[in-house]
Amino acid sequence: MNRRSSLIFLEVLIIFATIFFLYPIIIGFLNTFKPFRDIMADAISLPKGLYLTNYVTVWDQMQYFKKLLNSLVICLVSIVAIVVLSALCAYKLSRDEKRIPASRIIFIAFVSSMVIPFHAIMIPTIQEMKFLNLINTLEGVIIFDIGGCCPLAVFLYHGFIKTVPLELEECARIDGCNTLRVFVQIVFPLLSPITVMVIVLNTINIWNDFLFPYLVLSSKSKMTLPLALFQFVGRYMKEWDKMLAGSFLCMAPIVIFYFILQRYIIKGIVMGSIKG
Amino acid sequence: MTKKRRKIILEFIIFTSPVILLFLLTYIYPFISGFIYMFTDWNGISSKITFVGLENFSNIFSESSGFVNSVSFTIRLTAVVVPVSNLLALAFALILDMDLKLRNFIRTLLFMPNVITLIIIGFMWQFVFTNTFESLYKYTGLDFFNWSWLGDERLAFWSVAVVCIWQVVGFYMVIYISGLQTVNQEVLEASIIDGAGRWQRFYHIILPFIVPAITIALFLSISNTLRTFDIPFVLTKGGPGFATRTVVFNIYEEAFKKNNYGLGSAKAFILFVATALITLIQVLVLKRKEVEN
Repeated sequence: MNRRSSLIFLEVLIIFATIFFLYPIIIGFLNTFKPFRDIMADAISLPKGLYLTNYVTVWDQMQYFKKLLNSLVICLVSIVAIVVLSALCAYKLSRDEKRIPASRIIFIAFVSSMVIPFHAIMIPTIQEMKFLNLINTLEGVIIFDIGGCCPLAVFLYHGFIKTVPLELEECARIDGCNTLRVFVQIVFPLLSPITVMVIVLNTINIWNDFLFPYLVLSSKSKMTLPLALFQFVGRYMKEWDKMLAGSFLCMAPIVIFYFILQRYIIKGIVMGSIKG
Repeated sequence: MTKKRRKIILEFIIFTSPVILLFLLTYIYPFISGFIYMFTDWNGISSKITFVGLENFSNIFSESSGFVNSVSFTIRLTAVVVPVSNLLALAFALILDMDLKLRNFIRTLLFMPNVITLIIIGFMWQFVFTNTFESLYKYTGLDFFNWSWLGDERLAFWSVAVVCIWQVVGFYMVIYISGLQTVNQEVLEASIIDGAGRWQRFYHIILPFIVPAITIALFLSISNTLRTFDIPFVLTKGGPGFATRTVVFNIYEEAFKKNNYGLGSAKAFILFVATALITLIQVLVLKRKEVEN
């Protein structure tokens, strides 16, 4: 009995702590439904009704749909490429470890590069992109996102491929499958736990990335959602009605994605950074 | 070379070359050219690049470069954020490891700040520290809410620290929860029967099992906090004055605002050495732990 009542006490305590913890998000969300005058007069009062004008104004002014599309294109293209290229590369690096001595060296180079933070090489990276005419292009962001994320993905796949038994592949080979078919039809499906992890980890990181696209993309039509929001805030400083509604519009897609796949996402992010 | 051998090598090249090329493009070339930049006075535009030897490294410590100041801020921030966020995360983990009805839902909510863009987190908290606190002051009259949380140098430090802690707590909590799941339940129950107190149980039984989780969370939080940028960039804009500029903030301004690519690269190299050293120590510590077990 004593133990049960203390559990109930803890449950109530943690619920209050969570509400307190989420207060900045709750208060921001409530204020998106208030006209500017009401926000400035009293930020902690509840909205008087379902006032949606802020969202409508922001949607138009930041050209939400265009920016959403930019973010989606960058995310989807990068992630498909990261998954395909890293899985192929990790497969050969792992299977040819004994046959081709270079594969160990390449793998070690990938792993060592994971200690280089983007911030430490951002200056020459931007110079290189200028030189390659990739500044202010979505392609540039995509190419460098792929390159930046591949070493970790290769590392994750590499560790897992070792656990996939060789016998399956040998059988398929006897039946006349070439290497690519063996990979596509037999190995890749077995790697799906890692694929899920690579997808969620990189979706969150690429979608939320700010500094890199901020340095690369300058024209409004090419901006991603976080950049558009930042731009927007610079122009309408202290116009909290638009800033807050804009913030919630920007985080809506990724937060929905998070609540649908939360278990995989929490695991993916944590595992990805522990191994990295 | 036999035909078979040639085929193996050809396949190897086809499968691995895309990633290797991208790797050269995004890691190797920038790393090497950054290493060269730091010995020059290049401004990023002019075609005239002068080799200045180690001059950038002596300029780093001059007052005007602001580097020493940003290093000091970043180290103080790390010294606060790492212990506080880890202790809070451990506390949440211990509570959520118990048999609570809503624990999965609460875990999801506490982790949420990790999936929101950092700049949005900055805006959200800016609203809390300005308008929300102003209204709370009107209602409660508590002086606490009337302080200049983003305008005063010393308070701005704590504002940035609070937001950084708030953002990462859920992340380390998840690491600690997975650590707690490795605790041997039989030993734990036996100790309860033997009459071990709450604190004894934690110290002698739970703690030894979660030492690996603590090691990982500590090192991760150190190297992550050293790279803080987005939150002060939005929340305080590095101010008041230069009070809340982190190392990355300083590198960003040196290179992209003042166009000192050489000096900026020298600073970036110091950041690289610092984070690489921490990772190296982490690997060594974890290796030693593995040997002991």
